[in-house]
Amino acid sequence: MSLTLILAASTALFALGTVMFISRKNSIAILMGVELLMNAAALNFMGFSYYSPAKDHPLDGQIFALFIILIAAAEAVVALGIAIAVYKEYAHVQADQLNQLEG
Amino acid sequence: MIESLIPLVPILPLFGAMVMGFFGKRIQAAFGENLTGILGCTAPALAALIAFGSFFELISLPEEARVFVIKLGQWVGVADFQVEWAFRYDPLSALMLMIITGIGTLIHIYSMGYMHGDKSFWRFFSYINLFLAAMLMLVLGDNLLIMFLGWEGVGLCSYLLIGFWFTNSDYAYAGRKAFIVNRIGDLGFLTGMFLLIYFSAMHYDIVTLSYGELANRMEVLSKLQIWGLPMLEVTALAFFVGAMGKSAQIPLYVWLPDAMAGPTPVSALIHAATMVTAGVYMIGRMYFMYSMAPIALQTISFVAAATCFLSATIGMAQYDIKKVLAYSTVSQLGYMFLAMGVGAYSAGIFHLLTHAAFKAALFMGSGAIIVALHHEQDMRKMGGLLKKMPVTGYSFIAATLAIMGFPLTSGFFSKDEILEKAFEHAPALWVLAFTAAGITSFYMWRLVFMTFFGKYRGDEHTWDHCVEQPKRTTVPVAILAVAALTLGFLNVPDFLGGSYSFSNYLSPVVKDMDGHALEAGAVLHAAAEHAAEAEEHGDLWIEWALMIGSVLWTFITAGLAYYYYMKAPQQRERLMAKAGPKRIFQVLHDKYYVDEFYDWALIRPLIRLFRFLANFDKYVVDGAVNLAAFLSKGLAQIAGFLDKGIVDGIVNELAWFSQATGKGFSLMQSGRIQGLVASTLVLFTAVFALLIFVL
Amino acid sequence: MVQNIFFLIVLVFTLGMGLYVTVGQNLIRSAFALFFTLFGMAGFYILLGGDFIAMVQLLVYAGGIAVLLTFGAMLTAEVDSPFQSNQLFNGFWTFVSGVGFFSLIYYVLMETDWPLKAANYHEPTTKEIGRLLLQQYILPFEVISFLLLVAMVGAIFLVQKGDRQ
Repeated sequence: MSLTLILAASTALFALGTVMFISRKNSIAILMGVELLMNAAALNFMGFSYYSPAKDHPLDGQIFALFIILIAAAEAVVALGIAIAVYKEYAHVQADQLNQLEG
Repeated sequence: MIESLIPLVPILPLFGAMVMGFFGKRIQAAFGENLTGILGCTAPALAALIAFGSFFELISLPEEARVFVIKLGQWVGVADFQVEWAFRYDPLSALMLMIITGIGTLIHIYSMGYMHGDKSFWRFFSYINLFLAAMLMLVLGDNLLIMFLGWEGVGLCSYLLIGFWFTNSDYAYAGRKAFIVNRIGDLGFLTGMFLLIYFSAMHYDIVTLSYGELANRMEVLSKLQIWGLPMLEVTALAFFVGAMGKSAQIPLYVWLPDAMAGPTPVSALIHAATMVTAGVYMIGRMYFMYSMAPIALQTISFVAAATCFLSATIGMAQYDIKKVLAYSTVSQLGYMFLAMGVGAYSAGIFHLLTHAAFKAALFMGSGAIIVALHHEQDMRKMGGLLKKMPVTGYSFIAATLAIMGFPLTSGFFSKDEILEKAFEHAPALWVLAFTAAGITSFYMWRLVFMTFFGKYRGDEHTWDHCVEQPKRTTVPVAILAVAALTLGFLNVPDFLGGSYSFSNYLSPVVKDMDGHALEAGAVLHAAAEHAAEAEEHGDLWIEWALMIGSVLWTFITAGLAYYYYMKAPQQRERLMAKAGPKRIFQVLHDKYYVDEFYDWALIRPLIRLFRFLANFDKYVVDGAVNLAAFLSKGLAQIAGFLDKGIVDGIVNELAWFSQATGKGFSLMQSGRIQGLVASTLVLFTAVFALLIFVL
Repeated sequence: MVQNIFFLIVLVFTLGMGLYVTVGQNLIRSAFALFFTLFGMAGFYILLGGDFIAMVQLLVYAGGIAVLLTFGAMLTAEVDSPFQSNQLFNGFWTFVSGVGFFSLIYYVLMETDWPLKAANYHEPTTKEIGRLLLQQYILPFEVISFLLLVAMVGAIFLVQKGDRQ
């Protein structure tokens, strides 16, 4: 176990989340991808907090991981609300068909 | 006291703007216009009180203790890049504070009369309060970033206020024009700032933009080069481009005359007295940089002299009363920059002060006339108004005396000093400025004679209804007119028995440049003393001659205006009937066709480019299909009915090709956010990989 | 040694589950795999000396958000045809760019010389985090509480809107 490995794991999760975010058609799946991204970020903070050379702030990274978890909760709530609202309107949540912005 | 009260100066109008912006509509609906106006005037009035009070406290201090840097907190603190929320209160900003809050308050009171009956009274007061806040921020800021914040803020307010009556599309267009032209200038300002940051970062541990620290670093920075050019010169020129946009110098002056579309108090406050002088203030603030950039100063002085002269000539041939004043403003700004360009910073700032007083009075007077005549702005339909509106009229004439440089009025002292410094620097500059002074006198008296004297030329109905405006309109004009007459005594030159008290007052923060200062940039302190010494031994007769010459010259041109517009209009008509003068007048009236030139040289090519891009698809793809069709037709004719399949195949293939191309491009417009994220990811990876592996 | 073994187990478990979340064709199964991924994350946090964060992760993420997502999936997706509900598009290219991205960052990670400290923080963190939250980070803490409130109100409003029309 080392900082590099932790960061590598976090990067892997981040890549997985990005791939999921890009390639899924279902909005709920996209949301899952975002959760993976957030977790990757939190893991990064945790890793740096554990290995950081700063002496007097041993837990700052953990605080930020906590904040990320809370923001993720808020984000999930709103995003699911949107998904439900979209479902009511269109009877599906396929992101590729929600292209009202098409120019 | 100063430390605790000065931060309130910009905060009070900001607060006023917020109150007006959020609750103004309801306040106006519930309590009526008067209370809304009074509420809108409160914040500036309080700010003015603080500004004047602090000023008197400031001058009671010993000279070296007159600089206050009030730190409120940190704004940007990224590693070694440190920017603080800090205000700088010193003689220069104290002066600017008094100009802005003093004239600002008067104009607020005046607007209560001018905007009477407008249903978005509250919106006007909200914007103009916001403007004051931004302008005060610009002036008070202790570093370039805060100045830039205010700089952008005043630009925004100027845009909002020019297009205040945005339902008229011409006015909205004028607002947009001002905004866009100012953005071009802001690019210069930003470039200058980036250059300073870039070079500070290379040579110092901590990058800062505060004036005090920058002044200390100038000596090191002056030795640096960028692309083989002295770095300071480039920076100074970049900042000057910013000043060009804000202070309407050639070639970016085109927005200012159009800005007269806004309500007249706005023209008076923003486009004459305060905002447009921001460029002058900026150069005064950064004098330590400009003093080490002789080429930049040279450029400034030539641009300024050209602006001064050309816009004065345009002013001669306008009929719209506000347009005349607008070109006059551009011309007077030219004087200020001329003073800056020859290193006479205090003279430029002194002219800023006097110009603020008399130009605000002129604009407010013209506003009173415009309202009295039911929004008539054409001077050909005015005349004889002195009888109807005595207070406005006499105030206007007083301000005209000041702008022409009538002996012992404020313009006399300030303009004379600039002319003298220009003469010392380069007689060519002096010739332009001197001619422009005469032209100024001519067009101002032309305006006065056409408006206040002679016979009324509009329709009877308006004449009968024309009355003197209420007190809230006329009193501010009168106050400013008195100021315009008397402010000059602040800076009486020594050969007239004075002691340059204004320049001395500014000298702790803005030191004028002297020929000697250039050779050894370090001896700035010594330079001021040097200049004072040189003055004593200087040839007094040159100063006297210059002064008497310019007074006589303005009298002659004023006499010309009297002759052509009052005494013998038929002479003028006879002169105008000739081909030569007529054509000259037409060219001047059409402002040298600069707008048309910009339209032809910049706007039309751009529109053509956009149209080309828009039609690219149509021309290329359709062209390919048509060509293919044509070719296939030819082939068919040549080969007869030999092979229908191949020909059809080619056509289909080409059609498919064009379709695929179109599809490929339309992918970018799919409206799917995921696609955007994907392209971002690919781009990021590619750029990152390039940076790591290639560079 | 023991720590390394645990780390290896957690790593393989989390990444494997994450991979399944990403490539799985059944949305419901993906949701459950996500649940396990989040569980694995808590394992990481414990290994990194963050006992409190790990608990929060279990409570909020694994307990709350994952369940919420599962519900979301069940409420909206065509659960009766699970294999159509979770289609990919441009799968190959996203896979390539994802792998490219990962290898690039991994390369950077390997090349960088990270400054490390000698001793790690191993005491229980709850007390210290509570102190930090209510002293140094009180403002962000309050802002986040407010954000959560706004998010909840917003979500209720969004979902309710359809009924009112």
